[in-house]
Amino acid sequence: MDLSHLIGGFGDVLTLQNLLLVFAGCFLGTLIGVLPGVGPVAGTAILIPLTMGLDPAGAIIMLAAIFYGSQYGGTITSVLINTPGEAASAITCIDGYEMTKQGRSGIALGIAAIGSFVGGMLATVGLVVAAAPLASLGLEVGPPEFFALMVLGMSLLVGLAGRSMVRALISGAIGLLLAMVGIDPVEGRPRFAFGVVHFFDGIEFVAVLVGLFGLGEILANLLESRSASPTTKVGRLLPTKRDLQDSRGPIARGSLVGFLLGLIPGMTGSVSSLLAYGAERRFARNRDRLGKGAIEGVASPESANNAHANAALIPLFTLGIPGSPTVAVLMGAFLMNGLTPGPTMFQSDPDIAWAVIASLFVGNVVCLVLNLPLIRIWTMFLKIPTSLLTVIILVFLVVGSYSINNSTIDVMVMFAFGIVGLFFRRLDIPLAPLVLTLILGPFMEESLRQSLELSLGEFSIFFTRPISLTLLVLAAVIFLVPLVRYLLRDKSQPTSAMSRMREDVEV
Amino acid sequence: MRTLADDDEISARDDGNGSVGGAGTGRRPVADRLIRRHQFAGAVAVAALGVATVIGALDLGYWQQGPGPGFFPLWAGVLLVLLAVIWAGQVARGVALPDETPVGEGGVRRVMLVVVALAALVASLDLVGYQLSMSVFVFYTLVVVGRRRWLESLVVAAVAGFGVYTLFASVLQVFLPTASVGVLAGLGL
Repeated sequence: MDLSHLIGGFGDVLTLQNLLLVFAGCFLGTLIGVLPGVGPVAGTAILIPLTMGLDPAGAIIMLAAIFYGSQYGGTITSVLINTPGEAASAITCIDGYEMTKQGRSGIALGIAAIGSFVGGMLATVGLVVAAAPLASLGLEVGPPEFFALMVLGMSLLVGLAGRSMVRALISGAIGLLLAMVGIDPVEGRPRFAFGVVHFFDGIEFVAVLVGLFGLGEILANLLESRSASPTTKVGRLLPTKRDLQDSRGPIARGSLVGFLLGLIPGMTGSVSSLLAYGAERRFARNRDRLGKGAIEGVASPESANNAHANAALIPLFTLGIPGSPTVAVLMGAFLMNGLTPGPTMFQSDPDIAWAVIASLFVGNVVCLVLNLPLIRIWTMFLKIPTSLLTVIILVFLVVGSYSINNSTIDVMVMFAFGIVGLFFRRLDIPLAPLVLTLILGPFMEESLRQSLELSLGEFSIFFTRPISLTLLVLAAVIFLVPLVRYLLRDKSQPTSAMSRMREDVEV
Repeated sequence: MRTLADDDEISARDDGNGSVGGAGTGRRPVADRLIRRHQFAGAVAVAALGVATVIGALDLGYWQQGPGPGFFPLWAGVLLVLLAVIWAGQVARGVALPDETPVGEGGVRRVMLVVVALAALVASLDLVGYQLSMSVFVFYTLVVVGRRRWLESLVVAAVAGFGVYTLFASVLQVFLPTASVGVLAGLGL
């Protein structure tokens, strides 16, 4: 295996500027994870404007750090205040909060940080191993293959459906519709722009996501009056020898579960942490202590969700498929910087691709430092009263959406979609499919058009090229299997815990 | 907003139990009848969006040696209408209904207060500038919605309005909106 690219990547990351960006990203990401009002989708989207002045490599390095940093931070609120900072840490509440009640919160946070580190590092190694062979496929990807990839990406929205496939598809169709706003790629005529010149470039996806996920969540919290009273005593941080012995197995199992599920687009971090917890129920040495403050119940799901987050970058880097809403936001950030993630990126911008991969190693170390010795900084943020925090987040939503294009129209878009987001939440329409189609939609349309120009209007071009045929068949299977299962389902069965978990999944 | 007000009555006896992820808050569940009404309203809204899309898409070209500008919008619109019909059918049969999280006490009022204030903020950004409009918004939200103390709210409002403006202008070179009204613009807002 040729590691020269990776070593070159490290050379690019280990500059003062890029190290600072990794640090800033991990810090902001952890903060997003800590604050219960902002999830990783809105958090990452809102911070995109901050990276506009940077070079593409720096911007992506920072945003990727925000992404996995939020995975570390989500644990903190799960353990201390029994409220998950993001969905993938929800299961950690069970044993994590029990440990807090027993005065062992520091140890819970410590083992979570260590497990997250191990999981994140293992998945990043997996990314390095997978990147090289898949990257060589890049040369064979033309518009028809690209179109098939986009269809495959969109078919994954069935995996993001919550309780109702119909509502998931509605969300996906609305996303597709939003993606159509702007100058169309065929005739160059404005579509659904309502005469507003600002919309000729399309509707700003960052503003839409900040509204749906950020403002929508705040409004839902105000409506449902959710709040929490924090316990901010941390106590001893470093796990004892016994704790470490008890956690070794769970960390290994959790990392494996998270890594494997992270590879599958459409699987979300909360599924990983849930399954990892389930594995502990079966395999843990002290399984009867689970639910009563067992360290295994923290170590395993936390390793899993971080391994998942890092592994989820593999389909993005190698195929250009975002497997989850947050990764889709990251993909949007790539596009804004003129980079198209996927196999072609290793040909067109190898330096950036490898610098970002190298930054994942550095970032996981930074996150470990931020979450182990510096954990007390984060507990301070939890002392901020909810009403104050809500207002601070509102200020950021407005400022963030304005600074995307220095335009108040984007603030209006954010505001409108905040209200839409509230209604989506109340009606149990999942948001994730919308994100997926909103970001993939324009590419699908453009590559379809280019393919048909190549073939002079013949649709057979998609079925005569082996890669595109395989991808399309795969998409059809992914799409049809749950549909068939749904039609044949046993109506008396209650919804399983797993599919319920997916409803407000963000990772 | 009548439907939301209905929720308020239903969940008036709120015991305020916070628990994991807001699910199963221990409050009295929202009545099935109400959930159905909300879901049905949602289906109608989606159907309306679908119809509007189809009408809009018909003006765009459907096919010119391949899909024209109206191709995807048309099918997305048709899909929306179809899905809305299926959704409405499911609601009528009581299939795949969600558990609605009950509205907290005074929840609708809080949301309305914030939404109206935000709308005013968005409308006034280009008129009186970021510094003034954001300060007023933050002060109002903290005092009226958050019931925080006046002095504290005043300080936070000043930081959010004037402080954030200065920070963005000097560090990030991002200039938040300034006033277009002559008098205010003259004051450097």
